[in-house]
Amino acid sequence: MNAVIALCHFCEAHGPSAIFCTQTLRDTKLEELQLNQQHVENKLCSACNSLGQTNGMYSKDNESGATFLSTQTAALPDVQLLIKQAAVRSLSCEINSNKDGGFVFFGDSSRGHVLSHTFQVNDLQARGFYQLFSIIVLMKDKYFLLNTKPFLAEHLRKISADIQASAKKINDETKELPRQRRLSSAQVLVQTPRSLVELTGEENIFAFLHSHFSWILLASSRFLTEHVTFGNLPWLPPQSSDRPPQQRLTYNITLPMLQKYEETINDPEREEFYSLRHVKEVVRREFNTIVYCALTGIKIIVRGSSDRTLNFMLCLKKLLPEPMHNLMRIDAQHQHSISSDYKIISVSNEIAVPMACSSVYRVDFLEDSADGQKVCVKWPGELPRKCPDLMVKLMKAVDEKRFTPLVLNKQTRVLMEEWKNKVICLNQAKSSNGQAKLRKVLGVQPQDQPLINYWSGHLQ
Amino acid sequence: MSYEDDEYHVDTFPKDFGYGSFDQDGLDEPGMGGGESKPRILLMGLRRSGKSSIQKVVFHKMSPNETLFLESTSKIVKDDINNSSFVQFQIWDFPGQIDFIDPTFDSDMIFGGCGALVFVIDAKDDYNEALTKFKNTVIKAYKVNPRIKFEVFIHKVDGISDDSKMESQRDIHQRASDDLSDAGLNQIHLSFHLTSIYDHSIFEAFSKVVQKLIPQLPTLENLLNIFISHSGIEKAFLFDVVSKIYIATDCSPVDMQSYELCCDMIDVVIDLSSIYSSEETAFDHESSSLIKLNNNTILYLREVNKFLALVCILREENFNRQGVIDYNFLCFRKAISEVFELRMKSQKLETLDEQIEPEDDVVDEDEDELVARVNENHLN
Repeated sequence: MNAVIALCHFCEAHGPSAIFCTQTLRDTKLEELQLNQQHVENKLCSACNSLGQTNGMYSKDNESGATFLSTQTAALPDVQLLIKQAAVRSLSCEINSNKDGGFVFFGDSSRGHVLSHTFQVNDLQARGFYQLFSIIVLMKDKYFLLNTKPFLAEHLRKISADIQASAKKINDETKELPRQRRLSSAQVLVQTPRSLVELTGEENIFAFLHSHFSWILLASSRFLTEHVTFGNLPWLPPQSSDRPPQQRLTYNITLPMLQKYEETINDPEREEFYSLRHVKEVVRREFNTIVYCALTGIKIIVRGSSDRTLNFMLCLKKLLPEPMHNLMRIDAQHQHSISSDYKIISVSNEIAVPMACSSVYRVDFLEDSADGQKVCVKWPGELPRKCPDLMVKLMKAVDEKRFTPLVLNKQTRVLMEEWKNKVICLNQAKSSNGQAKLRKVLGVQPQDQPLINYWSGHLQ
Repeated sequence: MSYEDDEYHVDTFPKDFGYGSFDQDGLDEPGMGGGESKPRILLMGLRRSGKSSIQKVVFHKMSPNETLFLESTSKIVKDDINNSSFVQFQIWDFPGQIDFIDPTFDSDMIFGGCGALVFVIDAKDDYNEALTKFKNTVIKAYKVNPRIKFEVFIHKVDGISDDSKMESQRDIHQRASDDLSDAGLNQIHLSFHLTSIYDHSIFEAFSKVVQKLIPQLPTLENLLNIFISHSGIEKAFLFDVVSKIYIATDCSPVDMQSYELCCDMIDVVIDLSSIYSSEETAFDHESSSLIKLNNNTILYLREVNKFLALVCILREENFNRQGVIDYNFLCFRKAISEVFELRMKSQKLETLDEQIEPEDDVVDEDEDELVARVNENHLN
């Protein structure tokens, strides 16, 4: 998360300031930062100091390459100014007077958006017997900040509660002193406000804060990720449902089964069979026909031992939008469920299957074929002259050499989603006139009709 | 984010013992109580100089000893004093740690609608730093709003000998004036007050500050002068009951002791009627009190309106004509309410004084007539 988390403190002598900032660095190199700036104000009191002007702590996340750097003042001068202003606002303007510490959101696009958590820490030597602290999260992205607020709030509260608890412990230990003495000592010692280390009695309090802030920065970046969706917003319920509930049930049952199936077979080779290219590798010249059949709903029967067919099936799965995934392992017990609804079927060798015909596409995995041919494809049908648009695009993507398997998978997914939404959109159109117009808008050609016929029956 | 959970709570002052909303005698009018139109009093000064203590003691009845336990003010605390229509202002209590002269703060916002700037200087502390800050503040504030009245409270003078009090006042006065004339601002008038929350000096000083914000002050003083001269009264104060600051007095010099006596009398009256009154409020239109002191002096308190009380000091022998005094008081009260009404009618504060002038004459006639009658009675 590209944010700065800072601990701010209202110093009895010097007013509000940020005393500890943690920020994410991605492209900036540590060496480029000028950590020992000369222009810092002369704040010598212990409460306004945390690590010291020239020290820093840093952690690196190897996976994302992000570095989390904690310093007393923010490492980048621009950020420093923003943090300074935010600190003043969080401690002197936008205070939530809730004793447990509340959350206030403020800011604008030029000064950054800030989530501020103000809390009090017991200090018998301070005026009013507490010191005011706040943790601010400063971000440029308002919506990200607001959306992660529940997460941030939970963890910032935990941190502040920790600090408060340790301060309370220290407080209780010194409470035996008679009140009068405390009063007079407050009068004497008030010139030197105590630092957070003294308040909490924890020497490594700033290391503790660093690890917490870094973790929050790291975790909140994973907390919220963005997906591009087409058509219906995913959280809206489907508008109409004319599919019988029976099938819904099947769908619900099969998904866990499929997952289980996927989990139980931990084939290490599976990783490399990643994309549609695997299918192409297996069926070779017949690739376009199998793609066509999969897209248009011609029944595909894959016959072979399960450990060999699984990856193949998983790849074929990519050729249908998710709501149509009813992939199901069929064995003798489940024979009854071979219905016309299941278009891509994997069967083990011992099961008898229908002969190949124009409506049945057969892929038989061969046992140790001599010429390297892994499968035998049987389909008497013929491809139409013009293939559906989706199929053409898929073929192009598979042949694109610059696409890595990962990119190819994403591209496949995007194309599938695009056409899924087109079909859903067409389904919504009631009149044929409207449908014709919609086709024009969506760029649906006559050659796409078989696909639409097949998909529209399954997509709502 | 979670505003609604939290009850906003600043004062230690019980909610029911406050000014409440101003609704006296149906004189309330929309537009009068708007926060923008109210003059503002800014409390500024270095940290720990006693700004919050002053505000708490004067306007929230906090006992001076309790102010020891006040926490440091971390934000600008805005306090609405919404009293009689003469006493309407906002007090802004600033945190001393923050430098509000910094360009990042909106100085127009801070000094724009401000009526008076009270700068608190701790007399027990080294005041060099305070004077520097004072100079900068005055220069900035004057630039934004030349109409601001500058008041300096030389605070915490309790426990300092009279000599050193005077000495520090002279010194501070001298240096502050020098600083300002160095900056080319000779025309700024500074008022200095020696104050302490442990006696009545803070109330008196605050009275002076508030009085300057009341445009009708000359009229009120005039009324009081007429009243005491025709009733044989030595000194009369028009008090704001809740804060015990006096918003007007007659032209004779204010003796600190008599002011303290009057303050204490208000306390006695309020406390006693709080205990024995069956009414909700301790102070109403029937409130009146008479205290005879053993030096042939009488303290006499009468209610003027919901928030104002008139407290008079007079010789015992002059009180045998109580009926005359009471009658004169009724005339006085009527005149005050007429001033109120005028103010309500007129939205423009600048023209108020001129409009009130004829009213004065009317009162004068009344009083003259009254005096004639009093003299007649006396002759008989």
